Amino acid sequence: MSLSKRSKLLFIVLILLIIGGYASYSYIYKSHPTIEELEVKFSGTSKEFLEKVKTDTTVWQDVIVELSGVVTAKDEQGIMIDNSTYCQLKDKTALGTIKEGESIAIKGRMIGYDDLLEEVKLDQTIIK
Amino acid sequence: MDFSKINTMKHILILVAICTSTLTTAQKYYTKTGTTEFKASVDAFEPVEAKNESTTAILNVETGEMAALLFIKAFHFKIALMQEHFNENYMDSDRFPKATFKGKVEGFSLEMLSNSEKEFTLKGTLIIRGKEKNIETPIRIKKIEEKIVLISEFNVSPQDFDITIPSIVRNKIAESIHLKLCYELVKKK
Repeated sequence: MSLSKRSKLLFIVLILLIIGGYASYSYIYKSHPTIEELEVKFSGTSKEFLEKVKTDTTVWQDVIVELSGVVTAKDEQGIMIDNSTYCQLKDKTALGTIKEGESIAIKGRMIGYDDLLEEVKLDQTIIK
Repeated sequence: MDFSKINTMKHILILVAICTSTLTTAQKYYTKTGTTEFKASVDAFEPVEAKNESTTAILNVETGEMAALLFIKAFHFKIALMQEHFNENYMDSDRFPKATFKGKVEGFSLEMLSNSEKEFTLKGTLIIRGKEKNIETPIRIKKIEEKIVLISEFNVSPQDFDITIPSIVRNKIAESIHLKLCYELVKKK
């Protein structure tokens, strides 16, 4: 089988178009990075983290942290650790197994220091 | 019963009265996970809308004063790239991480609430990107058991907050941005 020069060229253009289309599609519609695959910027107790945040709030925004502490309160959406860090859970069904007073280790996204309630706020939290 | 006993009882009663009155004056309702949505979509283009489900809101039920705070980076878009552009190009959220509101629900009183919605006027100042804007909007409030639910919708424009929209995307982003808030408040202990 031999193809004419023209149809060869057409074929190459078509392939390039498909590749280009796929590349731009996956760039525009790329998925959100999940909490599991993001790099951890801080690891330690919630008290240590609070001290760090208080010294410079601007650095600690939209970063992934791993914290440990004692559960001091619980609501429909998340848990409070050491009366200072509120963690909004990614999976609310995990709330059922968490008890107030227990020690816990979590991974979540620090969204900022809430100065209305004076607490650190995390979302997309997962229990470790 | 002798006189001194009556006196101490009096004192206790006064103490109790003082304690309860300070408790009631400081009565606040709040949420940490209120929903704030905005829509700036234009027909026939990819919808430009996002949701923030981590809004903090506090309502003083004695005075009707209200305060709210949200983090710009906690707005979630369906399209990750749009979220990136929103934070980096439009909101500059590294420099201005928060949006805040401080105001008052006019004529608010806890006794007026019931499980059917009642309309009030919310007046206050909205601060986005360090720019203040006065807001006056109807707000619907109801009380379901121990929860106070606040719902309000209003429009703002990007110019109010010095947000410039590049001409290349001008026709894909609406001129006025529709905001919708829904906060379910519980009593603050």
